[in-house]
Amino acid sequence: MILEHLAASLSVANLLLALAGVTAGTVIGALPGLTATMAIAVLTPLTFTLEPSSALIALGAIYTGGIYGGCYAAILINTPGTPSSIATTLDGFPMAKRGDGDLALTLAVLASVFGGIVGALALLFISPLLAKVALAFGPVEYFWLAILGLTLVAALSEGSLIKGLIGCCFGLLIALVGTAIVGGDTRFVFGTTTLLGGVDVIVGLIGLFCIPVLIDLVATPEAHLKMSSDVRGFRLKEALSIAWKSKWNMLRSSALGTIIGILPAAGGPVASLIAYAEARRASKRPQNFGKGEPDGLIASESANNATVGGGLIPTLTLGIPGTPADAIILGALLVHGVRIGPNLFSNQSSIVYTFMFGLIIATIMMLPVGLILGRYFYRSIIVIPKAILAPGIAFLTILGTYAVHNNIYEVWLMLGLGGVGWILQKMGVPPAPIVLGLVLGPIAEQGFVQAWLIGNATGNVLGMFFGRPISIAIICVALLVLFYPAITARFARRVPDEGA
Amino acid sequence: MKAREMDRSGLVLAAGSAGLAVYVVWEAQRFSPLASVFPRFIAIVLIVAAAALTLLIFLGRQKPPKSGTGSNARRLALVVSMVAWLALVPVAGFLVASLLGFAAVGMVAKYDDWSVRRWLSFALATVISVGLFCFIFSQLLNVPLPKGLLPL
Repeated sequence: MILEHLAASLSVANLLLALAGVTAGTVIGALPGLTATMAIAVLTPLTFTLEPSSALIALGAIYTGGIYGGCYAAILINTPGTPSSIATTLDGFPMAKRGDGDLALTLAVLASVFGGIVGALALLFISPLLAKVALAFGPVEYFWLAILGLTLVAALSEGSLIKGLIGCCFGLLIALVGTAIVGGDTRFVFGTTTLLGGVDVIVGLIGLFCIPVLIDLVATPEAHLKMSSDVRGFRLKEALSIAWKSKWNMLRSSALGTIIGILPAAGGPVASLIAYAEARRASKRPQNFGKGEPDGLIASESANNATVGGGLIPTLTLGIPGTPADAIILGALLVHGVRIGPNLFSNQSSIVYTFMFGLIIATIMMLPVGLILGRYFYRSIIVIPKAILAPGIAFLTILGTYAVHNNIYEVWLMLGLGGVGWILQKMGVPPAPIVLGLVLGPIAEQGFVQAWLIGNATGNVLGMFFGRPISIAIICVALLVLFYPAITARFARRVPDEGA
Repeated sequence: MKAREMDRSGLVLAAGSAGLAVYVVWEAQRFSPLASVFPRFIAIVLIVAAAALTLLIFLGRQKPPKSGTGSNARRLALVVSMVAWLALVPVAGFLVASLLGFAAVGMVAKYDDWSVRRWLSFALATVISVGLFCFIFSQLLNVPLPKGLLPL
């Protein structure tokens, strides 16, 4: 029975659709400002005339390609192509700066394929079981999950934890701009209607990451990235060796990505940041994170691609989309007459299982597509003279930001944030903690306020925050992430003392 | 022995953060209780962090960040070019403003002397890059790019 669905997904038409979808998704995801969601939204109407299972395979392929494509801009120009690749910039760009951009891109595709397959296998085999996780998460669990993400500020603060914390507070304050999620107050809009919708994460990402790079790019005649003296191809053998050594990191990050992907509204950015924090905690070289450590890149990329399969679990089993991209896929499913719910797997099994196998095949196809496109992008960035590269990046930042909501004021906002980001960098505040606050602020605030209200209504605020099993588990992990480096350092000091 | 350099930019950062936090607390007075909890909490953390940073700087435990290298004139020229680029969009439209902006930023990033052939290549690259991406976004991705006031 299952083999029939596998055979159906392997038809020539489906394979071609998967290939085209992955390629289109990767290219769109590579452009700053254009997200996987936008790629799916734009290309969905093209799938309406296809067979339902083929249409879903194409959409799944675009989605997975779009999430992966974000790593190109993250690694090569220090700008996350999509919000899911924020953590990829932290070690990907330093690797490219030191001449290992090709290795970073190959590692990224290996990790993305691995994470994507883990997520898709979870979708295929344990969907109903994992769907219960989505239902077990209430506001307080989201609040603690955001707090767990915010503990990453310790890892993202280059040189000074206090300055990183200040940067994170700036990000949290930027996230408060606009209409309050709970209560509906307008906050920090300075009397304009332009800021009512708040500051979009993508606008913040492009401004805070890309503009400072651009400002420093034009200031010196030196090449943007260090060029390796010999052409070393894809460096696949070297990348495979590193990936094999990092197999537990890859597996853990993929599992985290799958589980966080299941949670509605968390998605790729939260998954990759938490996987990065966990990889740093578990690493024997935590001091190398942020300076071009391959394990950081692998954690981020495997986690964000695992959210594709994870996000589809509540979408298909419960009809609750995990991310905006899942919501569009859900819409496409309804257009094709697929009825979502617990009976989906029995009533329309041929469509669903063919789609799941198709997603796995599309993820595998990402390997050759990613290697070829990655090499092309890398060589382009290396070869293009600065007089073309700098205006090219400037143009894409403006165009990409404008395309988010077709709003020129957001481009001004991006430029302003970029200027402030550059000044803060010169003061020793890196952009990553600011973006961390911007991404996690709304999740933390909404979770906190809703949990507070429920706690007050039930007369048990403390129990609400500290008495639920999942919350306790997340609090323990957060404490471990915060204090583990100090504990291990203490033990490391004690061992020689005992031996002496 | 050489005295350790004081992190003056850190002091500016601490003062700015404290000022911002005071503004946030002031603004939060007019929010409903639910909407003011988080801003107040962040402001308090910001004030504590600013105080801690100041203390660390005066105790000599905070290293100043590395000073950047390169031409500040070019940095300023880039910012001015991008501001002019954006200001031109509502008037000249996205395509024309981008062609001019692309060329201006290219000039800011140009370090060596160019032959006629190189100039022509640059002009061609400008037109192709801007034209291609404007076409992709406006025609294939249905992004309505501003047309401006020019009769194009």
